[in-house]
Amino acid sequence: MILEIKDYLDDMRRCARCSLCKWPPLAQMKSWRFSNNCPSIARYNFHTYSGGGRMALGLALAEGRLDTITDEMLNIVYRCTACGACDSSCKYNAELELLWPIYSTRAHLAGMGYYLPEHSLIIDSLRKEDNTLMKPKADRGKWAEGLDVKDLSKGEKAEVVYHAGCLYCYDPELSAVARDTVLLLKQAGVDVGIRGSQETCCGSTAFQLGFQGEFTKFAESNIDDWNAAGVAKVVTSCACGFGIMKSVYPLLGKEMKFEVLHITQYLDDLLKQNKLKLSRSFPARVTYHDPCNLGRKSETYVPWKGEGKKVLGQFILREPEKVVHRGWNGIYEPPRDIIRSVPGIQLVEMERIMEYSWCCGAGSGVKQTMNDLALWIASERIEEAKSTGSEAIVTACPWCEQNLKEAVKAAGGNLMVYDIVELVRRAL
Amino acid sequence: MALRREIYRLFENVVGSENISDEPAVLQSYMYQPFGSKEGVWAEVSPEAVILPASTEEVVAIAKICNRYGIVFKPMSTGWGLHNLPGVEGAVSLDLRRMNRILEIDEKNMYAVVEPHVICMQLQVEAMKKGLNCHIIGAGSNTSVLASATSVVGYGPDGLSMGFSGRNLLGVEWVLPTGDVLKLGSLGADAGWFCGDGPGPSLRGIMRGWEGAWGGLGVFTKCAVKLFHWNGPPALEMKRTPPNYVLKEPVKNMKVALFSFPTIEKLAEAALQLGEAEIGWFVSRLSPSFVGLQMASGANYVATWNTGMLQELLKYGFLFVIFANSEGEFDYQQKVLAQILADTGGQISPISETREMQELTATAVIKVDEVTRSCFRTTGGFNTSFGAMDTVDLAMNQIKAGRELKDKYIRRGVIMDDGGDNSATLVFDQGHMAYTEMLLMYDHHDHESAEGAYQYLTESNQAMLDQKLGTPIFQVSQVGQGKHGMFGAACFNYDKWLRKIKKEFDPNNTCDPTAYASPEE
Amino acid sequence: MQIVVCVKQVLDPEMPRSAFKIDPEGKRVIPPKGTPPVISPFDENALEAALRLKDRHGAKVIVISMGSTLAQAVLRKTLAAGADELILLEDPAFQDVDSFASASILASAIRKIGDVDIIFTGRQAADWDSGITGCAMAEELGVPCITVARKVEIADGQVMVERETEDGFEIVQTSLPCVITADSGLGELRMVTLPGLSAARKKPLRVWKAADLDLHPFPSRSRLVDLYVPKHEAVCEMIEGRTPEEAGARLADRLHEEGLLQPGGGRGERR
Repeated sequence: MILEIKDYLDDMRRCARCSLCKWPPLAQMKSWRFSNNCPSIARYNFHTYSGGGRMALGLALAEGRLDTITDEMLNIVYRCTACGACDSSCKYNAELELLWPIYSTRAHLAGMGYYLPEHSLIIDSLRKEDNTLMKPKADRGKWAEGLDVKDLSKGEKAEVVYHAGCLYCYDPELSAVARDTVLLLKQAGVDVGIRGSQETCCGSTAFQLGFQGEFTKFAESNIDDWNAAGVAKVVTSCACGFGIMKSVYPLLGKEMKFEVLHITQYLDDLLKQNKLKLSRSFPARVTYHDPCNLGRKSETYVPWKGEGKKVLGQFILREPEKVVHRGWNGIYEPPRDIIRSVPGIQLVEMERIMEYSWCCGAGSGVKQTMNDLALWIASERIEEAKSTGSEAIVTACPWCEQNLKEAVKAAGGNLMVYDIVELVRRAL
Repeated sequence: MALRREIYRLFENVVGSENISDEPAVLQSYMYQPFGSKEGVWAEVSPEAVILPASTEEVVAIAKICNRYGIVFKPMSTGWGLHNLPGVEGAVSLDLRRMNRILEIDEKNMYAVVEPHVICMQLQVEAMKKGLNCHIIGAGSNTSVLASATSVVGYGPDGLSMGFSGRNLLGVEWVLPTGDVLKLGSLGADAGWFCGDGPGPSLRGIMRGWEGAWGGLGVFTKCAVKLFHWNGPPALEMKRTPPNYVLKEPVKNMKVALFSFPTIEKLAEAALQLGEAEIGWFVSRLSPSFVGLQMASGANYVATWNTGMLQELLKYGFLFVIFANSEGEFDYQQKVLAQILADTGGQISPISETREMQELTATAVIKVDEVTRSCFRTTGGFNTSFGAMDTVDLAMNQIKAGRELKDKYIRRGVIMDDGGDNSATLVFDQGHMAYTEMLLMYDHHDHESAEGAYQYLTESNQAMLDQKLGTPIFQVSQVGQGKHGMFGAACFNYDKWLRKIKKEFDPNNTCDPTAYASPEE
Repeated sequence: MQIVVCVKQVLDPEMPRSAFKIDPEGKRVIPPKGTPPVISPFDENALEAALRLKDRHGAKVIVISMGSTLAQAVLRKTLAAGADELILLEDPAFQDVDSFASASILASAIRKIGDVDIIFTGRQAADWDSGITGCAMAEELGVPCITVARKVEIADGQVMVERETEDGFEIVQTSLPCVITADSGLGELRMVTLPGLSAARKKPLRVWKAADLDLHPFPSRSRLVDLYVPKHEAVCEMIEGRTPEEAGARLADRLHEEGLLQPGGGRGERR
């Protein structure tokens, strides 16, 4: 399943240059202020930074029109969170793939040894310590110290494995949320275990940056470990992890003997089965931020392999029919249902939501390598949240949370940023 | 021939190093222009650099540098189409993306003041909040308001009630190729934006001609456009209905319908009568394939097409929308419509009466977001031919000539079989004018198909000349001697006037003449 | 003191198994898509050795790397880790050269740099694992070579090296200049930091082509005959039985059939 740029030449060559990738789906645009959907071109303005521009760049590379790979070109390629908003917008009109050509351009470059030097920090960290944060592997299980929970790495068995994810494991603030999550699951009677310090990264960042080989190793090893542990469900708090497990893991051709669920799906189920009851009131006006990887990027991707037959003269008919991934099947309702079931809470929507949600700015290594850009993108989201009159923004991804919080702090604001589990805890 | 370092630095001093680039990766992405390229996607000429000015002052400074050092420049807004790029070597592109503000929406006087990169959809959503709407061109709401108003045609099917971009243009702030700033209309007298002409002789015709300045007469940095009454809700909620987004609730007092007629003459007669009766909000003759592509894609579309149902039901048909300000007016318009249909033998087409089509069409006529779907998704390559903004009869004659010619090329298999008669067209300006252009779709990556499309364009231009059908709207300099070379003499030597204007306003020939006219023959 | 470290850019030895493919006609491993080349791991140990000497004695560390197309992003890691200069020996002529030829080319570069006290390199490269280049370089340069170093110290113009042996280690001493090949026991290359990366951008990076070096014609002393992934075949016959005793009896019969058991009691002869 290694990404090859040649598989996406056809999409790259059929971009209509209509610029729909730069806006939310036109019919869903609600104001001038929040009419951008691509953080990259919103910040840098050259056409090259948009989805269509990246297609042209990839095509120029593949066709040999760019013989020198300059540092600036790499900057352009990586100043993009691979959020998929461009892909979603293009789908409803031209039905082209945009996100995977972007991935394949990166894989093409990385394979030749072209990447940003800062990426080597992330990749080396993965290779040596099994996480992207340059933290020691031995400390990965520390978040669960003292927690009475089964450790599957010691041979214990459980029906559900809770995969916390790199950031939840290592960030002191966020690991409290991971602990709360385990406690919630246990309170609801779930037979849950963790893998402690044996848990490893999902490989999402490696994949998005084009380090396909690295990704494959982590993905295959995770699948093997979960199969061997005999778990029925893998429940994760990390939206990036969820997204990659749903959209790309299945493409590796390895049998996945377990179901992958995000914590919001799982909690939503538990609430609906009355295994958890939210009875304490939390009167607040909040809005929900759809993480890219939980939403539009979590659809299982089915690469199209077929032929384009010419009918009606020059109409290109794809056989078999191509499955168009519009991002409509992401996890949108479960987190909203959870929020709405908190007594006293008022949920208001931002303008750019669901499959056309505005990225938080952390994705695809941008947080680690270009913090300025990450914070700028987040500040746009915060303005949007504030425009709804909300006092808090709720989200379900640790990267979104961390980045949004940092941006609020940098601006000296007072918008609260809640993890959805935090909300549930408060309302129990 | 790279831009000399010193000159690059001069531009850099104006806009900042982040807002100018001659990086090959950037330039290549700008060269990607499938619409208008003879074959494939790459322009033949690359700009030397792309500059992103943020204000009129920066545009002026750039223009002055260009004049001093003999650098050609060319502005673009959204940049859709080869005509946006400079056609000469050694030129710089001005990408006006950073000039994207809606400066004002004057509710009482019903106009908006916009910068070049405001797209129709942005203006529409802001205008609707105030009970107003704007005219959107047929190509879609992803196009620039200002570009259509000042520089490129500007027809749209909502023109029945909301005019035509050229006519909707009010005050303009114009940076001439020399770098001088000219203000047109009431703006020129410091009296605000409300009027595009006067006091005194108006330069609007000089600036725009009939079709627009096509990037050859400098940079329009601000303009005001008329807004129109909108009787719908201030915000429209959508729902997901694969493969599109459609209105969640129908708009009150709005009715969309497809009507079909026994002959094209009856259709034209009906259109004229509608205009004269001053009813209707939107009218557009759409080809069977265009309609079909809204409803289905891929194998579904092909299967539907092959049943022949679309072709039969929509052979001579148009989409007509009534949108009234009250129930009473709605009833009145329905009655008038019924009368006109009775007179002309028009029938409501069952295609439009399903709930799906009602939702889809109502959304499409308001949001105008469907062109990529219908024109580019099928084969990838798209172009347009013929073209008129004139009488209904001329439009009909073009359609007849066009259909014959298209059929010929469809039989050769080099362009897509869209029924031949794929004209986006009909009356606008309350029936004063009629518009037409004949669309064609081909595979721009297939040499035979691209070659065939090119031959068709050449023949269609010749047909226009031979049959006295006017000048093609978009075939600027892409084919043969170019439009002016071919049609000038037959059309009152209009090109001589364009060249005189060019010479007068652009003495150093600094603004790219490729899509407009060069000062000499 | 001036130290040169020779590092080789190799296809990632840790690439996923499924990505490892051989082009049988070209007799080469096909560069895997989406997995960038890396610095050969033992060469990273070599660089670490050099950097430790720099830390302690204040040496200048120059890294050289030879190949036909070199990935700057990959090799700049050496600068980010602390090396002072990077010289790339990049020329199409340097494609697929054997260890002796490599040694020759590297030696020319070292002569051109001049005044080199120690030359470090990895004990063997992670692609071909020949382990020859270090020694061959030393021979060309006419200096001593100590291999498989796990510790290097300098005192009074002499270098003391702890060498790995089969059952322990030995200490070897020699004078400068010399070539030392590094083993993993020396320790991992220090972690690269963000400040290190920023500093790396300002450090000198030079590219030398074949014409820039005073090259003697380099002979190929080895010829690659064939490159293939060996096929392992295992045939496993399951011996069934209703009880372990029955299965055991059947196994004995089967072994006897194959002639692997002598009749009668006692131990059978080993074949």
